[in-house]
Amino acid sequence: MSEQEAQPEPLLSVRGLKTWFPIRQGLLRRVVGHVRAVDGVDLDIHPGRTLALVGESGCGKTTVGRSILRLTPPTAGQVLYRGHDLATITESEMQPLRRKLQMVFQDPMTSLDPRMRVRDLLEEGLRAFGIGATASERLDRAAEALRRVQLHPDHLTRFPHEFSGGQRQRIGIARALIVEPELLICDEAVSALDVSIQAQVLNLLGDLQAELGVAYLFITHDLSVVRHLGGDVAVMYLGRIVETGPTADVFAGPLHPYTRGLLGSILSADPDVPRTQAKVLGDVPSPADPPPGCHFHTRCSEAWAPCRTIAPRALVRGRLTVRCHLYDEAVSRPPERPSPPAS
Amino acid sequence: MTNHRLLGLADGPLAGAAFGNVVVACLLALAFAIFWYCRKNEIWRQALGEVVSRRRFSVLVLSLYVALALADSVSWVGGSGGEADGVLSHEARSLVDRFFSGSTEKSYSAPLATAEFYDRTPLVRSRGHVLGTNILGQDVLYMTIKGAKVALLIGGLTSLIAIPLALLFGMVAGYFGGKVDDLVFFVMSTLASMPSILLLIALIMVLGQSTLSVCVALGVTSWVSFCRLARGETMKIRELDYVVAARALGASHAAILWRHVLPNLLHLVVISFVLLFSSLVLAEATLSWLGIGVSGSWGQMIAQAKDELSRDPIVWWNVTAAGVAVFVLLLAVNRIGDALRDVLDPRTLGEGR
Amino acid sequence: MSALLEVEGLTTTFPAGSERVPVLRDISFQLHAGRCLALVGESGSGKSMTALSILRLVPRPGRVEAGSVRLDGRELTKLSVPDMRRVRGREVAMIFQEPMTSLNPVVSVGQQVVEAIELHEKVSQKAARERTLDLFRRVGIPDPEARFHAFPHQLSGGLKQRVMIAMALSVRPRVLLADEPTTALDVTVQAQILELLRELQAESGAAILLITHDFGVVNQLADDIAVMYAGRIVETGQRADVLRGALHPYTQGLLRALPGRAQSGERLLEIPGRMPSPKDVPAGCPFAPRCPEATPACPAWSPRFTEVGGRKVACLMRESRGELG
Repeated sequence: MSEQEAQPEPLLSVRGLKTWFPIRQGLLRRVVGHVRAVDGVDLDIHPGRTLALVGESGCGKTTVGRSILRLTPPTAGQVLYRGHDLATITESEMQPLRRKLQMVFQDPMTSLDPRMRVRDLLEEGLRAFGIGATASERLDRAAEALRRVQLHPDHLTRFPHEFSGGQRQRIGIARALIVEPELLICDEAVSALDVSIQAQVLNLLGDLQAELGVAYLFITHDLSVVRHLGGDVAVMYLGRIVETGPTADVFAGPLHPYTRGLLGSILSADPDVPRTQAKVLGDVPSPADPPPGCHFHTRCSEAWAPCRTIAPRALVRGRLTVRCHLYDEAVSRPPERPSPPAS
Repeated sequence: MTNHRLLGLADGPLAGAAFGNVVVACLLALAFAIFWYCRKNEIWRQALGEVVSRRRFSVLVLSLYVALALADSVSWVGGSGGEADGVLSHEARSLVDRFFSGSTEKSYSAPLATAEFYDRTPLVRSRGHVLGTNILGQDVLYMTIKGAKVALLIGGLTSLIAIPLALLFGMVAGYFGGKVDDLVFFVMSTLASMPSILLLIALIMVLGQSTLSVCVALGVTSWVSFCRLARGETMKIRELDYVVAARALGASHAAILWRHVLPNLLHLVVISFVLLFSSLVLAEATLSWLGIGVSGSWGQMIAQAKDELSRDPIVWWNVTAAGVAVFVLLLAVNRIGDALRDVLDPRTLGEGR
Repeated sequence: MSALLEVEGLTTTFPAGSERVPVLRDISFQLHAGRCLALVGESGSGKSMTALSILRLVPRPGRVEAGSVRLDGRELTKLSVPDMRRVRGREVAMIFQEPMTSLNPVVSVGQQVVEAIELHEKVSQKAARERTLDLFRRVGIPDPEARFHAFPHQLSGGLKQRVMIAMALSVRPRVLLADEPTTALDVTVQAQILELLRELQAESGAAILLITHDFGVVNQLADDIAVMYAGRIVETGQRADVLRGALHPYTQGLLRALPGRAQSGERLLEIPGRMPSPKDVPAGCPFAPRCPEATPACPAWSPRFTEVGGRKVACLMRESRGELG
């Protein structure tokens, strides 16, 4: 994907996004707490570039994607796009903007309506946004969309079950791109695919970005895919972004202990690299009851007193932005724990 | 031929016949619409073809019943031979009526008998009644065949009332959730908690006793179970990626319900339709036992057994004929229903082989 | 060292229409005590079916059509049903991929392990409970006494998988079949579970058959590798040899397609097309339609192994050249 260049104005900015789901219990269904799926997230997505959003299960990355598109209504925060705050506008104001913000889903088996032909699946978006005045024009656009994902226009009359997983993902991509969006949110779009098919789809997405200038928010848990994508990366843990920056820099010198642990857990297929030792111990806590202060402190080998009570603030260190008390000179630290050197 | 009262609106046998013809025409139109849809949509065509090939005999039996019902539905005024059956010249008679005209005896006679059962007077048609005659001297085979139309009407028309109603409420409740769901749920639970027999009796008293009112009453009391099913299934479908994708593509709620939810509920509709049919026919039999069923139905024939089976010697052919007719029809329908359920399983439907 | 588990010519078929289609074709390999063999393949290659075939748990209407499975000399395919049941769980145990659906949701996890023990050994309830707690400690479940009474849905994916491993090891099996044991787990937990399996294997000396599609996992745990494609084994060898220099074009393609191997920004090397479903497997070499080195002779060639120095590869191009890479 594209090399790093001077940052233009972001296409979409997320500030302080929170999406909480109420937990109801008891006969009267009273709200006893919240699942804090997204707990204060800031992101910038630049036109034509890729931002990878990476984290393990339960970290809230899928919810971020859905909250941006208002498919799950956000609880608080702002999603700034072209002068609109997507988090607070009405649904009727949102509708025309949806054209520019599309999504590709994870599961190729459920992301396409099994009762509809490919042609109807593709034309749904055209109809909703009034693209293409005549039926034949819509048909042409559908055929063109299929060609662009390297499928033959003959496939227009077929049903989804006649295709393989990889082909269904391509159809899903075609469906999203046919309305000419500026941002494509890929929600674990290659996670359910085999390695050889994954390679095909990743190459396709790369080609499409170069050709159409679409920005990607690439949500995934697979770090090797993140490294391959390039662009920028945001690492998420239990609803918060703990580190963000250009992918190459984050991989070369990660600052946050979680990022370090995550990168250290990548299993290499290279026999000459020594076997991986597990760096991060224990399991991910539940997002319904996250640890106070820094969410990661229960599993962090570097945690000390302030980590348990104070949530870290975002700090810029070089090209990276990190939320960790280790890098915060304002936080008092015991003498045996000096500040880590600036990268 | 008895009078029909169209919910108190129109009166007289002619109105009844016209009503019957119109209903049958509508049902036929619906059947053709379904056929045409299947021709266009190959998933359905394959599925139904599969069902037919697995249950050839049941489909044949069902077709026979349908043919007989249709024969009884085409009726017109005029022609000769009606006087012998006590039919007035301005009353309409169907093909079946005309086929069996002039075959009324005075009272009971055993199957293929030569004389009346009790008083031994010779019959008008000696050995002419394959299944005997009933208390009014009507040929039991004739009454049985006429009962086919009534049964199909009860099952078919009532389902046509109940299922779209249940579908609409279930889809809306499942899709929108919240207060809408609560309201529908409340109505459903209320209806489900009332003893259906009492509700049926009450409705029929209010609407008057005619085929249509019985159908409406049965429809109102039997839509709940399918509604629950539709609601549950809609809630599942709502969470699937392709529905979320449609929302991301800007589709309106109505468009999503019409284009994504409804087509994916159709397999349930088909199965429920077939299975509801059985329970409706049996429900009508119960109503006939209570005296408020549809006239001319098998249920009514079976109800006559109250009296017949206590005679000496017993009159068994009336209830046996009706019982066997019901049994065979419902067996065929249930077998087709089971095959439909297997074939239309969403995992196999549209998954190819 | 003689093999603990020897599989030879294993063929499993499923009906399709009026004929039977082989899902596994002529599978042969050996498991040795204390070593781990990784069976690597993509979905549809038949790797899970191999484990099920060994345990004679192939779902009907499929069945094992031919071949032999010998555990320490004993022929498993010929055992009576009660005897086979004694083998399952006791001598050959299996860990499944989805911990969520492999555990009974209405029974506490501790109780499930106790039941597994009681099924195979005559021990008192108390002894079984003690053993269970011990196992929980060994597999790294924190606070075992409390967790004993927990239900599966109260545990995280990592903990559930640890429970499954505890259950599998509870009766000290000699062979462990692990079907994608870490695929459903997070990356950080995955590393922990693999470390655990390494330690447990060293302690108990069991043989492990690791079924996976992930070469990263293979690299962590396996000593030997067998690569599967469309129901056949196409290559075997020691871990480092295969990963460093794969011989079969399919293995080479798979390794090149890994995102970890490519430079950022470069295109990943693709294998065009996709694996055929069992009924569409072409005659001759099953990989020929997608192979960059295929010749017209390949579809006519009957697959067989070329063997040199412990490594095997089923490829006409390698056979005819008489060399290994």
